[in-house]
Amino acid sequence: MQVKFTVNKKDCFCDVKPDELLSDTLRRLGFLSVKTGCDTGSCGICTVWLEEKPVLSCEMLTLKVQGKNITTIEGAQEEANILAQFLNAEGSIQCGYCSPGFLMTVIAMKRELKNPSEDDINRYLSGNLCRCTGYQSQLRGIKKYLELE
Amino acid sequence: MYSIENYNRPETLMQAYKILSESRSNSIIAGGTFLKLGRRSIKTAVDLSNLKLSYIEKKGEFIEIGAMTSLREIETSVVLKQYYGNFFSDALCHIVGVQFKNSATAGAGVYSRYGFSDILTALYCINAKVVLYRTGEMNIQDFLAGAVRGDILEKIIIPAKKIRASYKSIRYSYCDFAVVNVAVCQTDGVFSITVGARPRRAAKAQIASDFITGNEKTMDNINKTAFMAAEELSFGSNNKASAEYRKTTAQVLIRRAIQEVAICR
Repeated sequence: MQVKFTVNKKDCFCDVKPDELLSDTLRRLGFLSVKTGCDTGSCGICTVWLEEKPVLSCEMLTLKVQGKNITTIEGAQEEANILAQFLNAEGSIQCGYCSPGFLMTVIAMKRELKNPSEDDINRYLSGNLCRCTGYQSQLRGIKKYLELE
Repeated sequence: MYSIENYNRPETLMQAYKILSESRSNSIIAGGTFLKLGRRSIKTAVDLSNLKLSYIEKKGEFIEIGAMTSLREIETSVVLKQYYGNFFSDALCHIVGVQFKNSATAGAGVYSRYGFSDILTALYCINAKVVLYRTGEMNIQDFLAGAVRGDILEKIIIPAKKIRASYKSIRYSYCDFAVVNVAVCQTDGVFSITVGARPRRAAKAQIASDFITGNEKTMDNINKTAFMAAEELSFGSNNKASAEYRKTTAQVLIRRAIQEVAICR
């Protein structure tokens, strides 16, 4: 089936199977930042923005995004680079596998929440799992990024 | 992962219902979040995204929630907070994460009648109604007890009243399924106590609710109500917890929720 949507402000036309997932389509189109982790919607590694809202691309049928705007981290590089500097300064990127999804969620959080508390940040990021860090270094970096410290 | 042979995105509920009715293998696709965990073979998927069913609107004495409203929209709704305080955000905050809730819909959470559902326990507690395309409007209690199949949930209707309500749950990690969940509310002096994830779907402790409604809200009576509710309802065992654990924990959560509703909020 034909589907048309935009990825990072560029039009994409694809022929997809009815049950093809957005994560698979995006990777097929060359957006390799989008990875599959758990395949159950728990880890957040596959996070992209659908109309600027964070969603799990491994849960979303490609056909559902007909006519919509998708943003991957390739399309949010400027903001992601700024955030990455704060995270790097705290040593909070190790293997990097969770990073694209994590960064996308944090940037979305910055737009959605004003002056979040530590609890608000933890709650917002509860859908992003990291095997490496234990989250404390990430939390420090995020607070500095949000200018909370 | 499920499989789909054909995909359709109708423009009207009538079209959606017609396609759905053509085969038992046809299915509504909302967020697809829980569907993804199974291996269902779907002949034609009916996507409701074009039906403008994503809304939370106050209409007179009621608030209407469209079936395709995301759980995140409900969690953060200013309208719902105005009338229900933190009730809905407390019920939904543990569900996986923001990204998941941006896809998962209220309609799926209700229509599927999942045992683990947090939103079902909350909506049952406040005596919500559901509006289905073929069946029409019915109380959520009747919907849960009945055998409605092959229909389409259009919207959920709840009272637009300032209601004191409390939601409690226990789970092994912050965003895991609940081991047991509890909702208590008080409307015009009448208490309602519901318990879900028993592991069966939400049920109301009517006798216990009537007891606390008709008696003074002393600690003794609150304790007695919690005990009665735990005795009134049935609990089961699975790999998450034993029936005894659920029953004991539910009693504690009910007591705390009643205290919040009766005394503090």
